[in-house]
Amino acid sequence: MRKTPNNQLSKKGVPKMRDFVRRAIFQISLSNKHPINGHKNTTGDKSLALFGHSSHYSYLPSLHSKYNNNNIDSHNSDEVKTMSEENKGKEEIKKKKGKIFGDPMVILDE
Amino acid sequence: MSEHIYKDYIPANARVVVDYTKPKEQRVSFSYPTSWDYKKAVWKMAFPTITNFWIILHIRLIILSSVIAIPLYALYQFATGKLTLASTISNSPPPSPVSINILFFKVISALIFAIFYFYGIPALFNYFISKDKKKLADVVPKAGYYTALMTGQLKKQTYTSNDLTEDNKIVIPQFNNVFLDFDCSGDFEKYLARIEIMEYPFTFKRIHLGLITFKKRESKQQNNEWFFRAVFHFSHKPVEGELNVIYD
Repeated sequence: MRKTPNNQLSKKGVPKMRDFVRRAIFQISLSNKHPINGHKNTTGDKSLALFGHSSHYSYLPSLHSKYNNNNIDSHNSDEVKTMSEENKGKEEIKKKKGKIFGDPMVILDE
Repeated sequence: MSEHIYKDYIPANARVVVDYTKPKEQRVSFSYPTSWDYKKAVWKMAFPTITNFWIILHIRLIILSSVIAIPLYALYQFATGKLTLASTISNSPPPSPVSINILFFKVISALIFAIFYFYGIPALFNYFISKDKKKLADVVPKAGYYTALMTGQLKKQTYTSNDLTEDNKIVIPQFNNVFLDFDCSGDFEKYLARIEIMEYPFTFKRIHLGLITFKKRESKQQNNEWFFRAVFHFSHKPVEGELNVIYD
C-alpha cells in the first residue's frame, strides 16, 4: 500500500480526512474507467498518479512488449509493415469483419 | 461479400493468427500450445465441450418448462376440473418395507439413467462424430459458442482511438478463446494488419500436499496452456471509426 506523504498526515501521524476522501473519489473514478484497456489516463486527472495506481494502467503494454520479445512463436517475430508497402499490386480488402472460434474455426468476410 | 471458412481438424484450444497483409491462402494460421494428438483432443476438449452444451441446454429447458409449461398445465387442469385443491392432499397409509425397496430401486435406476442421459449420450455422439473430422470441426466450435451464449459469458465492447496502446495495439487481456466476433469501421478497417490470439508466455510449478506423507511437493515446470489474450495490431494509429467486438 502507498505510504501517505508527510504533508498529508495530521499531528498524530494519522492520514488526514482529505486523503481518505480523495482515495474514495479515486476508487469511484477507477471503477468508471474502461474495464479492459484502461491503461491510458484519458481524462487527464492527475490525482490518479498521486495514489500510486499508475502501475495499474501501465502493466499491459509492458507485458506485451515483453511477450513479443520472447519469440515463443514465429508469428511474434514478424514486424507489422505499413499497409502501403504490403498492398502494392494486391487486391484491397474492403471489409474487415469475421468470427474466430478458438476450437478452431475462423470465418472471415472477404 | 462472401464468407470464407478456415478450419483445423484438431478440436483443441488453438493459437489463431489472422494476417491481412498476407495473400488469401495464408491469411489464417493455427498452432497449438498443447502437444495433443487427434484422439486426445477429441476426448479432452471436444467431449467436455459437447457435454457442457448438452447439460446447459437441458437446464435451460427445465427452467423454461417450470416457468411456462408447468403453471399452464396446472391452470388447464384446474380449469377443466380434473385437479382440485382437495385432491392435492392425499391421506395414503405409511409405505410398507416392500414398497420402500421398490422406491429405492426406482431412485437408483433413475440415477443410472440420468448419468447415461447426461454423459453417455454426449460420449456416444462424440465417438461417432469424431470419425468424421470435418463434421467434428463444424460442431465443436459452435457448441462452445452456444454454451457461452446460454450461460451469459459473451461480452460486448467498443474500442475507439483512445483505447490504443502506444505501439498501436488493442488488447483483450482476459480472453477464454471460445469466440471472437470483430467488426471494424473507418480507419480501424483501413489500418488493421493482424489479429493474434495466443497464450500468455509464463511457466510455473504446482505445489501440493503428498497424499500419505503430507509433505509439500512441487510438480515439474509447466508452460501456460490455458490463459489466452487477443491482440489487434494496427499499422498506423486510427483516428476515426471504431472496433466492435463480442468475445468470450
